[in-house]
Amino acid sequence: MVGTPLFDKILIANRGEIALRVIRACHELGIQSAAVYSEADRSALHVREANEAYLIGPPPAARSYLDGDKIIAAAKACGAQAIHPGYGFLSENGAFASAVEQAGLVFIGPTGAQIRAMGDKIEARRLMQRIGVPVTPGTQAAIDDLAALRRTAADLGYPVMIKATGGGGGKGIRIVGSPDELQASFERAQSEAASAFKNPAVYLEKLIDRPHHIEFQILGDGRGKVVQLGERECSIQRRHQKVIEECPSPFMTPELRAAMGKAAVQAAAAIQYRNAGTIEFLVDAERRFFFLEMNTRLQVEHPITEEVTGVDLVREQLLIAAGQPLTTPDETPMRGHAIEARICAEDPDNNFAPAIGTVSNLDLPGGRGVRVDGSLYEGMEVSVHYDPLLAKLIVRGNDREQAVARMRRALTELRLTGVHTNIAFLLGICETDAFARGLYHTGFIDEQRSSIARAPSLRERRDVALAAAVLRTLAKGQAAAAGNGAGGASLDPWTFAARREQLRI
Amino acid sequence: MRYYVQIQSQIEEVEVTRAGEQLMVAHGGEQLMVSAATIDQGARYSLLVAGRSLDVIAEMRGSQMLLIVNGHSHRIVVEDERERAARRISGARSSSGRQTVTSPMPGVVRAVRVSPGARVQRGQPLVILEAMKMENEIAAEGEGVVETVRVAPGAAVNQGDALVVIGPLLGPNSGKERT
Repeated sequence: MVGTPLFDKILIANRGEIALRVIRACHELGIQSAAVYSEADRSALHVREANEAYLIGPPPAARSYLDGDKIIAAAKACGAQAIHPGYGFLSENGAFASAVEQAGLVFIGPTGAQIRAMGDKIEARRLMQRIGVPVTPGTQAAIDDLAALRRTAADLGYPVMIKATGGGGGKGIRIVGSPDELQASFERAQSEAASAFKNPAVYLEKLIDRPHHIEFQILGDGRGKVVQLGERECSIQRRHQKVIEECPSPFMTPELRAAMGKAAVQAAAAIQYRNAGTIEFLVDAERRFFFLEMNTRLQVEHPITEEVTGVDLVREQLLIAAGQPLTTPDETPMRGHAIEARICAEDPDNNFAPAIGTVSNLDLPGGRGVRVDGSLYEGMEVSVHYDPLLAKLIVRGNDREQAVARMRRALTELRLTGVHTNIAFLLGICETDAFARGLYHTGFIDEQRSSIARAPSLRERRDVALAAAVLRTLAKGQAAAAGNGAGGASLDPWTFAARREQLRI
Repeated sequence: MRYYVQIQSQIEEVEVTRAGEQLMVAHGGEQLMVSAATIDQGARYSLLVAGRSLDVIAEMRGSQMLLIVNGHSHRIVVEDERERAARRISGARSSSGRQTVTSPMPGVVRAVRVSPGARVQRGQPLVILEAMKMENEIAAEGEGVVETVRVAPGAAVNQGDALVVIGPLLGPNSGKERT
């Protein structure tokens, strides 16, 4: 490391894989890392990898990772100069960002005002319209009157989406197919918005037919300069939550990339955006694009951009926060192809119910072009308190075909027991014809549900049946050996069992 | 010893006998030699089935097993002859066939979709539970008729708390086996 570090010490106001991600970037830059943890995370990987770690409360996020005052106090107490908020939790909380700066610390991200400007989805849409970035047809203002809602919906044409103005990240969305569903959906949407976002205001957007969700990564220096690092295709979603992402997008053309990239830069530059951010767009079947929202933080899926551009995005965040000029070129070229699969603690066979348990028998994939950004370790307790994301499996290939083959290989090498995961579901997606050909949109998972569920082949059924029978046999032998207490290890298990049971295995 | 392995509602019969240091396994008219090496404390094994390499991780819970074979996971039921015979006898005799649907995680009941007397299908949503910042559908595992609903919207539940009790479609001795 040449020269002095950007900061002496940074506190990471997060947990799990993203905390570890930031800690790793700090260590590579010679910066001391300070972690915070709740009582549920005492043994977490991010705590063990950080240079320092401080307890900030009991397991519920509201009393730990969401407690901005406690976090700022911890940062000041340990002498950190800056706070990295990760994603989720307080990362898009404008009041927190402002409070950090008022406390004399650096917030590694945009200003509180910028977070608030883009956090109000209606305001963000209005801004885009003013600067000439296309937006999805929809309302200009929040609607709280059913009659007005009905008229607007009729003007837009069904189907429409009711969205929470304080929402984002795929939450607080209701699709309305026809006028008779409108009232019930409106009432449900308002109450969900009130409880989830403390803000019942909703607005209306036209539902785009078979859209692609394509987003652009940007970096801004906070003084008007913004660069874009290309797109990420995020259309493999379930209930508006991303499952698999890739870049470059198989749906993209050079012309569309140029136009969308320009719009993304315009959008961020309009507010002199500072640090890393993402502009999300919907693209319809005719390749017309529409601004969806801006995420004023680092995204979960940022690694795939890193893999194809060679840029370390967290490092760039730290450089910008330390006041350094942007060195990443605009329209940074993408080389090769990268795919990310989100490994989650959930049970796809039980309606994706969140799963809990203790991680055992963990095997992580490796080899060329494989990257695991995760907080997984043997013995890890998966609890109800936090997001079900266990790890991100990222692969890189020279082209899309190689990347897809590599993802399939890596998913079969990734193994664990003790908690239900969506690994088989992810593998099922990667093995569909549509995914192999890169032909999909946001309706993919719903439409392909039956293709995704694999029925084992005859050979596989035989392998599984044999394995089950053999294991039962061995388990019996081992139990017998242990029961005898006579150094069973010196006898092979089934000889011992045979002797005890008179050759009946 | 013969085993009955249920994989996705179909049963495979497998016979295992000792053959020196290996095992002889018969299935579907084929006889195969299997070499088994224990990798770790009884949860991980390497099987060579006539040369074919199977990496196996297993989690056993009574007759239920989670098997990960070469990275593909399967939830199966394994019974030996004695267990299978015992289950069939008790199945024919008792058969209250009652399922108590319990909450898989702590959370708050947001909605109840059924009431006593309702006939439900496998997979039919019974209760909407809010947990881990998401709404989760708790569904019926088998066919039946709702006997009792133990919760109401707004109720906070712990993992394992009873939500809905579902009785069999027909009377006792229906002879239906639970899969």
